[in-house]
Amino acid sequence: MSATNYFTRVHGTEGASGGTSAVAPLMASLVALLNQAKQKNKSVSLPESRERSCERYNGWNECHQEHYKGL
Amino acid sequence: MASNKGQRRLADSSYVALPGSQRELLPNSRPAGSVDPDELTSVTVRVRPQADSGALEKQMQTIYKQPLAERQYLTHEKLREQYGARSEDFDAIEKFAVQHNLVVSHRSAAERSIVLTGKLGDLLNAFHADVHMFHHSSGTYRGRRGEIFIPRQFAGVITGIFGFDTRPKHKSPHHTRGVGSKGPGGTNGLAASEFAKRYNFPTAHNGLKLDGSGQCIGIIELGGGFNHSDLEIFFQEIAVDLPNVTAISVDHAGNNPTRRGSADGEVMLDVEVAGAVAPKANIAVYFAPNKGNGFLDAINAAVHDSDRKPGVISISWGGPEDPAEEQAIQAFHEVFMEAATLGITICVASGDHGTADLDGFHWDGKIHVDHPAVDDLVLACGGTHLASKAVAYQILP
Repeated sequence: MSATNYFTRVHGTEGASGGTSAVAPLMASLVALLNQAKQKNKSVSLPESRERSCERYNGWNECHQEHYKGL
Repeated sequence: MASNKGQRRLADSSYVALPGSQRELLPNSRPAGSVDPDELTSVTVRVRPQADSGALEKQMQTIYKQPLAERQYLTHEKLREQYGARSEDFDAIEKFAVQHNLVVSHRSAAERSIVLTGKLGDLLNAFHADVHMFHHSSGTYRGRRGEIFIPRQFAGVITGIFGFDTRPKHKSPHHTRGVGSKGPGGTNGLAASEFAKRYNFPTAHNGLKLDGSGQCIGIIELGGGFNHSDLEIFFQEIAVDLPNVTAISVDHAGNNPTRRGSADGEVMLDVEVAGAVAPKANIAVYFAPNKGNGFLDAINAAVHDSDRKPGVISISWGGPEDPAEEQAIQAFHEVFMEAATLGITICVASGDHGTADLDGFHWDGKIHVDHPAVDDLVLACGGTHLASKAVAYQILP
């Protein structure tokens, strides 16, 4: 995930920010969306996520459809 | 004088070394004198679980062998009942604490932690350690060398003591440029919601709009704070509903926005990114001091928060792993294991300085991995650069 060019506002000043600091909450919000899709306040399992790397899919849409099979 | 006292304490035969508590100073530290024995200080004492050693790991492995559709995670209640602290252990530590003029400021069976507060001199009489003040390029800190010694009666009961050493954890640096207030676009960068679109984050599933509803995102912060007025304007400008953001105090820290250049930038970045992508999720920000026991206590509080129940936790803080400090590495790992049995994903920034894991000014010339991102039970989050509107991945130079 991109670690650069995130719009932020801090103390009235706006600008682009980044670093891997930005990637952690971005990934966390993605997990929250996936958890919502599972309709439970529980996490997507980390080992399962690793096993089913989404790199072979055409983006997250295709990936998460595969991921949800059987839920 | 304090040093002689320390030597006598370390030689006390009724005390035994706490396994894994060996600690070294930061490289290039210079002595800065004795500690103030009257300084009000807290230490977090971590204790053994009710279950046998290794039982929690077996439990986790059992859960993760189950097919995803059938997976049953532990509830907070079950985890506390089966793997929490024994009350008799806490009771014995409390009794011991009173004898040393210490106050119990927090006790949690689920977290397996009891926080003792009092004068530093009294804490060092209770638990023996070689603690002095030191100068370092990152600032003056209270440093601990060697092992911690605990009363023999607590051997095998106490598994970690945190808080004597106050060296801070680093945050992954982020650089904000810009002087105006004109919203996203151009040199101001893109809203995280725009990144989500470009990465094709899911927006719906089986007719359900995915916006974070019913979810809680926990965010760990070791300083700084957020301004509600800034959040209101930010989310208005990116045309996303203002999320519900709550500040939770750990070890007496709190939401404390101060000034530009402080940790406020980190806090705002975290909240604004998470909120932009999942605006209907509750965002629980756990604030702890950036010293001693704060980091572990904050993660522990978030993982075991049975009220808000975050399903995912974001951590943008860390620092070079210190292989010598086994008790800390083990304690973090155990908390991550507890998170795994609860079904909580932990996302951790991997750091922005490659194998140095420190900026050029602070780097000691050695190779480091970032902790806690290095722990194999968390999702380490590295960074790439999105070069165009199309979904593309490019490794940063």
